[in-house]
Amino acid sequence: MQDTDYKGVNTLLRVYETKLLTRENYEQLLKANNLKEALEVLKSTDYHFDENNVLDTKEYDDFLMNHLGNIYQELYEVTPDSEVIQFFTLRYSYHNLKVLLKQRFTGTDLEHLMIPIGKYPLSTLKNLVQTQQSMQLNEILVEGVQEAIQDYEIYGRIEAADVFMDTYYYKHLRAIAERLDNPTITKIIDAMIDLDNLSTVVRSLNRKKSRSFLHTVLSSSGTIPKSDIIDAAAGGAIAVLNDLYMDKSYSSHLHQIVNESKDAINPMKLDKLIEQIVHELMEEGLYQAFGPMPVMAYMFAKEKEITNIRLLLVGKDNQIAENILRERMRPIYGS
Amino acid sequence: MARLNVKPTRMELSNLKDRLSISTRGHKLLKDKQDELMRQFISLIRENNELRDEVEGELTQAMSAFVVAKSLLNESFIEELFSVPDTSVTLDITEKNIMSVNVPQMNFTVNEEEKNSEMQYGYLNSNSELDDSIEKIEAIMSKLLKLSEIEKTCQLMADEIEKTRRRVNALEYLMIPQLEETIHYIQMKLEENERANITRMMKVKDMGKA
Repeated sequence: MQDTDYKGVNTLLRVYETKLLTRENYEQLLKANNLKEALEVLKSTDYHFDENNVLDTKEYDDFLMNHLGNIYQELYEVTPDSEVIQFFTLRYSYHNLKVLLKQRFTGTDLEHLMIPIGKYPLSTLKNLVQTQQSMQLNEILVEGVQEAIQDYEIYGRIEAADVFMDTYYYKHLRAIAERLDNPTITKIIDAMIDLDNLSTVVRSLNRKKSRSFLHTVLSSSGTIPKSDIIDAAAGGAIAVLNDLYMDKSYSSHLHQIVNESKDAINPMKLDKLIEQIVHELMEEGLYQAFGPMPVMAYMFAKEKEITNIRLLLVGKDNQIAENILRERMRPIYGS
Repeated sequence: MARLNVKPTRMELSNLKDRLSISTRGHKLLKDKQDELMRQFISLIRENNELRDEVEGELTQAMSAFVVAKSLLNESFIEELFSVPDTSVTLDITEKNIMSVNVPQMNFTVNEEEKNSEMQYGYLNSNSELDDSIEKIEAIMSKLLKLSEIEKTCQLMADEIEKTRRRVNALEYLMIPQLEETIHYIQMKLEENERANITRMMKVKDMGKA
């Protein structure tokens, strides 16, 4: 795959980028007095929805996922390598597999929880969970489903769906990064998995989870060995950060959180910081004229935009204070 | 006060006197029952109010934390995380008798055997704020169940108090005054009959002398 193959899509993205919400839009949303006013602001942007219906049902995810699904669909059609898009849509595919696995394990109908986003149609995923075989799907995905079903059949643990799908999601991301062989993408994946592991450790230690729990939930697909993280976790979350993360390129951000924390790290601040680090890594590739990075950066921006809109709409509907919303807002594209 | 529609006979008077004595005794008993029910109800309602304030305060906090946490995640992600509960709760209800009111006594048993895994939900599609809000909601659970028991007891007792109050009032302001008035009426009537009888006898005696 040549980097110049992306020149068409990158030109198209420059047009799409203008449709992203601006800081002014966010300010207007933040200043809205209620949900109706917030929806009025959102109506003037690229989002299309029936205002009365949204006010009635409060189902924000319906139109947000619809919008996101259309964008991914368009990008799948114009992007030369679909794995670049999969980088973001895999999360939805693995979510759908979790739903299907839990449906298989418990016999309850959970299909309404599926999100029709991703490279693979829902029917193909359903077929995989039913037959445990597929010629169309990636072998990592197939292996994950087979392992989860096998584990459930032996031990009867429903959480196998979550454990195996989360593990294989990271494995799949790593495989995509290796195949794309793009240094910026590899750097982003390295940071994402390592930082997700860090967030998991902090959350687990706050909930006083055991060593074996950490062994189950941490991913082995990062650059820091899982065993090293588990060993360092015995000394607390700050020890994990100091021992294993301070040689990373993004360590200056982490210094900040270590300095702010006395005994324990605030996981909410850490989650926001992780988003900021990934955002900055994405922005490094934003102005590359060639290659997949502009697509990646655009999709990341779109995902964060959806998160911010959901946060603001839910916030306005529930009269949550502006400072609480501002504190939780994810990075804004181009800022 | 309306008098009962009965014939003014000695037999009826005796019946009514019996009824009055039973009604007066019943009234006293019911009044005592009402007082005791009120006493227990007031202490329960006080406990209920305290618990309700406590639960409502904590629940409001937990729910607003949950709203903020869920606003950062897709709704389907959250529903998927909790689509299969990791524990089940068994409820045994026994009945307790408070002043002839059968109130429920609820025993909730959390099936600990099912809690053999530390994994409640996946960490990928959740966040730390969700952990906190779920922990808060879990902590309120036992108080919430206790509150449901007390509220149901209060509701049943309130119904019984109302029923008893109606009976007490009916006896006090209707039944007993009616009986008393009817008894008085019969007594007057009988006395009048008696006097009429004496007068007639005297008159007959006078006629005999003449």
